[in-house]
Amino acid sequence: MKKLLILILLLSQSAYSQTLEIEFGQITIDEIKMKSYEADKETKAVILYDKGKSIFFDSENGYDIRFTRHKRIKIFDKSESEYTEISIPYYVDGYGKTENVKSIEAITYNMIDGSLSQRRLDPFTIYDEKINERWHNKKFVFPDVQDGAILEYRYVLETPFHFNLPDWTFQDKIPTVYSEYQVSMIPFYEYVFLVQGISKFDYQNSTVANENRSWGNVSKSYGQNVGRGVEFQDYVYTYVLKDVPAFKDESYISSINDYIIKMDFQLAKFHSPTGTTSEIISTWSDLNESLLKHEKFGKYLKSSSKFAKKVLSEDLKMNTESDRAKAKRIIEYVKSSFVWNGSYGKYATQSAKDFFSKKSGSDADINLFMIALLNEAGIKAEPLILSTRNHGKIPSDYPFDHFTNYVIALVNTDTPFLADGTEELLPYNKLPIRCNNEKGLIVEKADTPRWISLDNPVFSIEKNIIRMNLDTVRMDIVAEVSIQNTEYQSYSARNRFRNDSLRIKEYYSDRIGDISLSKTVSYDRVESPYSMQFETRYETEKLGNNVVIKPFLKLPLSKNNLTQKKRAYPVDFIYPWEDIFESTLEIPSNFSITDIPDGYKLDNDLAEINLDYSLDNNILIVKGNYKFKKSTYVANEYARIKYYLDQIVKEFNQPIVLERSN
Amino acid sequence: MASLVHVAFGQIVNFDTKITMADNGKKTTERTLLIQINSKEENWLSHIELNHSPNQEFKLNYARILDLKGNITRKLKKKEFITRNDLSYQAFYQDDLITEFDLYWSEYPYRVEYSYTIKEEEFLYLAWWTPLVYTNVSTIDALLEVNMPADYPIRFSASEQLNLKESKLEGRKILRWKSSMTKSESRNEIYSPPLDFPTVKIVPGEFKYGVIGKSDSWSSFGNWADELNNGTDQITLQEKWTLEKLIAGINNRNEIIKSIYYYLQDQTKYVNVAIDVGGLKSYPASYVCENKYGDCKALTTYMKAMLKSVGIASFYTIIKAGEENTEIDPNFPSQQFDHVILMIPSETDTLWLENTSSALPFNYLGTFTQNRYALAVNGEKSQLVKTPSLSIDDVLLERSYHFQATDNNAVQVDLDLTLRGNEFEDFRSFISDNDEDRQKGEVRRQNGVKDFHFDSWNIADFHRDSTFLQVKVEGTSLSEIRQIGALQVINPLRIVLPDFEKPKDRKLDVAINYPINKSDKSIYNLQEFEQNDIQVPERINIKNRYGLYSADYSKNGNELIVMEKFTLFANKVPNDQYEDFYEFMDMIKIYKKETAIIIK
Repeated sequence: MKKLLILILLLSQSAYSQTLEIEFGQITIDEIKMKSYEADKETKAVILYDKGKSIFFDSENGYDIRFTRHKRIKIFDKSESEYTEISIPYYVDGYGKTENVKSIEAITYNMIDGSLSQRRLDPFTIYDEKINERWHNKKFVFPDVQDGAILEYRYVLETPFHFNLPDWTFQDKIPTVYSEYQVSMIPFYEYVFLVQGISKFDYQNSTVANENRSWGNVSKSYGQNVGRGVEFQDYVYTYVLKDVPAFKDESYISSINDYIIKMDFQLAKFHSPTGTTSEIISTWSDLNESLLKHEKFGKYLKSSSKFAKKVLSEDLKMNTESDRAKAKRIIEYVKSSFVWNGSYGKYATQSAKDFFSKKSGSDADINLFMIALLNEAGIKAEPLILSTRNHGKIPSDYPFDHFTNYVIALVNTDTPFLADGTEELLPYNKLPIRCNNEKGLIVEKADTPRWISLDNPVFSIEKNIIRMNLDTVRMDIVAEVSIQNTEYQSYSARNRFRNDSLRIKEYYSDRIGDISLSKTVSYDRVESPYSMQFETRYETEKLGNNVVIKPFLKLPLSKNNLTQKKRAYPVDFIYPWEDIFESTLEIPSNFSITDIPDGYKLDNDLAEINLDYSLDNNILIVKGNYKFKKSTYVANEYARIKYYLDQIVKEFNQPIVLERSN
Repeated sequence: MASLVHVAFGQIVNFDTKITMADNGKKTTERTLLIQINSKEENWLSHIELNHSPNQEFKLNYARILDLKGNITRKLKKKEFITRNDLSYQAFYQDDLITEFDLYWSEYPYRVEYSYTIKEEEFLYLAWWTPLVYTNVSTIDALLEVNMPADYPIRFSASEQLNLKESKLEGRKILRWKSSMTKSESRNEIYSPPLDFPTVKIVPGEFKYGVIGKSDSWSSFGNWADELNNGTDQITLQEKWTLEKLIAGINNRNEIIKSIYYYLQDQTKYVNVAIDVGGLKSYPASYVCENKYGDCKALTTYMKAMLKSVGIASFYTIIKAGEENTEIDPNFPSQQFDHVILMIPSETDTLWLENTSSALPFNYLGTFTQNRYALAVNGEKSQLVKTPSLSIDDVLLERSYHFQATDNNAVQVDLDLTLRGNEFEDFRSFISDNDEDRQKGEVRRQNGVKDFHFDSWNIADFHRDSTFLQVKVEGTSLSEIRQIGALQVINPLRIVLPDFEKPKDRKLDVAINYPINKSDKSIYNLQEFEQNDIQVPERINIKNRYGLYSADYSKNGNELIVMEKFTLFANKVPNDQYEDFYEFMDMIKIYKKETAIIIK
């Protein structure tokens, strides 16, 4: 359950428990003697204590944020390297502003021959690793880690980026005994925050700090401030969770970000010391407005229009075709001319001119430029922001800027459609799978935000047609196989094979046998289904006078990937899908079919399964399909989905037997 | 309808490497590349990553896009490239650097040209050059030019197909090798030998890399490696006392070594931090004493130092590790290694220790370092030594099944699994990591029974010194006895053969670095079917120079016993003999495919 807690409300809440304060360097005898964690005896390590503290401190720029972290971990098994090898990421904006990680201290405690030993981290073994232009890591390894060791570290991260008030994750892949986050706010910045995964903290509190602080020139007369400066005290907010279980990852979940217990912050208002208040973000409409004014979003769209005009006249030479046709041509031009560099973001990372020259950029570079081109061609296109699947879902009640990480285009032709210019193997009006994540927001000037559904209700279908004959000399199957993929299945096949005959043969030879001839249809026509046709020889299983034949060869689903008994999270197939099979087998005159299996039929709100055998003179006809009607199934539908998949694997791979009669 | 085409790769049109040795011993390497990109599929070639180290002076001279006429379409700007750490999964941290940039264009074909210079004072190789930049992209023209003082002493080794042109000018010697049309190679054929592209290797007569050294013989090269790590094999006094306590009362030399080795395994952890001197210099043993972690060099030095402290001599032994691609050129003493192990000679038997794994038994090298040359470092007495090879018995995978039909179509399965060789090593590491999921995954992979549902599995009689591992598995299978039409069918031959390509598709030799040896025994209790007609296949026994295969069926009361054995010897099969080799494999394959127990 998700719950929004506005800071100002918390001042009235009272404490009903206590926080835990531990001294760095002072561990207890119980901690060192601990042999396992009672609530999770299998765990290889447990976080005993994790406390984060953010404060605003006086800096040259006014106020910067100082985040201090103190963490203590019990290691039951030293092979657990994720917690013994530490990386602390920090951000450098490339324009002179940087986060700073300092005061790293780490101690390993071991019990050796009944006495406690301590090994401190040598500061010379802290390394600074540059990952890319923006991100660095401070890295170190805990020394002398033995089974049963306690690892303790603390560090300070100072950031000038007020938008980056550190978030806090209360849960980890190992259990956490105690997790606390304390934020000391100053009156000038107002944040809202969102808590995910729990409805109640074990402890939460807000108090006013004792220390008096001031901004600007404060001068006192009879106890009153008569200067232009402001006196203030910090508001201190504390949140505690205890005995948090380990987060167990499961297959087919959209993103860990959608489920882990955490707390996100968003700067909402700036209260100037002079008395004025500017709203940073308070509604989605406000967020839209700020985006439209942003130099790398709305202003970027405007500034790139001149360049877009040039491109339209020189490269695209638009004529009097319909708006839809024009839009299609522009989107296809963008797809074929530019390469997505894999970066996600809403804001352009370079000027339109640089982007045009580099031919490569982020989704924002590509799609904002594409919108500029569309608009310049007289087609109304608007940006639409969304959160990609790996980034988690957008809690639409809360207008947090960082909940979205991608921008696409809403193209308002006679029938409006959504477009993205990053994937050449998708049709002009089809979004990449990463974008299919609930909903997106149209960035426009409007009082009421407009959300657009990004779910894809269109079925992706794979149709397999097999015409088989039995080679009565070698007793093998000679077959013509046609496989046609539509929608995302066709994208997936195009992307996997790239029309490369070797890749296709390598993939299908295990499924349909020794391929002698293969052809493909419509690889380049991405709006059409992608088809592959094969001539193949499939070795059958021979049992004396009997030949065992799988009517659909090895094309149907052969394994159920849902293996867990229970499921805590939804099963996310991303899009609804269907596999269709049609197979014919001409039975030679000296063979007879010994037994025709029963068919199978199931149809309900979740799935449809049909399998039907019929004999028309000497032709065996087997038809079947399985269809999953929803893209996402809730956790309590898991058992049914798992059962259907089991049935599919069993029924669709069932062989038939031909017996030689003489 | 379009016929399929195998997607062609772009080409390296030109690849020039010019190396200049200054009189002061400083080396300058200038590389210039011209790459042609023919389609969007090949755009990966315009993402450039250039490796260098903090000890080198690196300069990107220029990078640009050209059209086919040679006109410059775009130049790379200074802000468009970045230098970052090399983020390899092999190391927790390394100080090696990568300068990277992209030069994409959207009209095909286009060309990317760039040039960079590396200056360095310390190096082991003057050149280690091959005309290929990427193994999967052909190079049309390549040049290696080395310009050095005429009296600069070098040794070199060059592939036969490369011709040397030598000239002299104003007291300098210029060596040139040219290559044209060097074809890329794909290595997706199984059990293929290492890549063998034309190569030129040049080493200086004398070099300074950390310390001054020579590589005119393995002895002198080993001496340099010894000097480089001089003084690193000292442990702390505290550690000395710990060891004294550890071995108190043990008199047997091998037992002392074993105790110390197990102490190393239990107390330390493998973490690779690659910094300084090209990742070749070891951290001192005292560092591992204190921190209890290190890379292969540091952990081996530490083990060596511990043995030294109790009066046992051992040798730091550098080796090229891996299951494949393990050969070095024994006739060209030089740095050709990437791993370190420890050799302990004795009067009766040499002991070998892999010091980075807490999972392996004592004196066990395994698939990672078996049967190859390595350099045992011992000052002037350094020499190439050969590591022991895994025998057929060392790698024998045994499975003993007991199948019992039950009432509900299921078959109860009891399996005794004995793992050796690679599978043993993997499983021991999963045990050491306490990783139950991977242990279970491995049991699932090795059990060989279709649609197998586990009831239980456990490791039997685990012993740390043991070079095999026994796992007992119990479960059921719904498809061990399949109902096909009116028949019930059992496929009892479950040894999986390597899937060798058909002769028409095989281009490379076969290189099997260590043997494959598998043996299955399946006992079926068929009491339930005693009224039925049970047809058993013909037995088979093939034996030739490539290996062995046999399948045998016998009855003992209600029990049907099936024995299947397969051995493939460590071997090198040249491509012109592949058809003969394949025939052996195919014969087994056909037999297995047509073999089933039929119950009517």
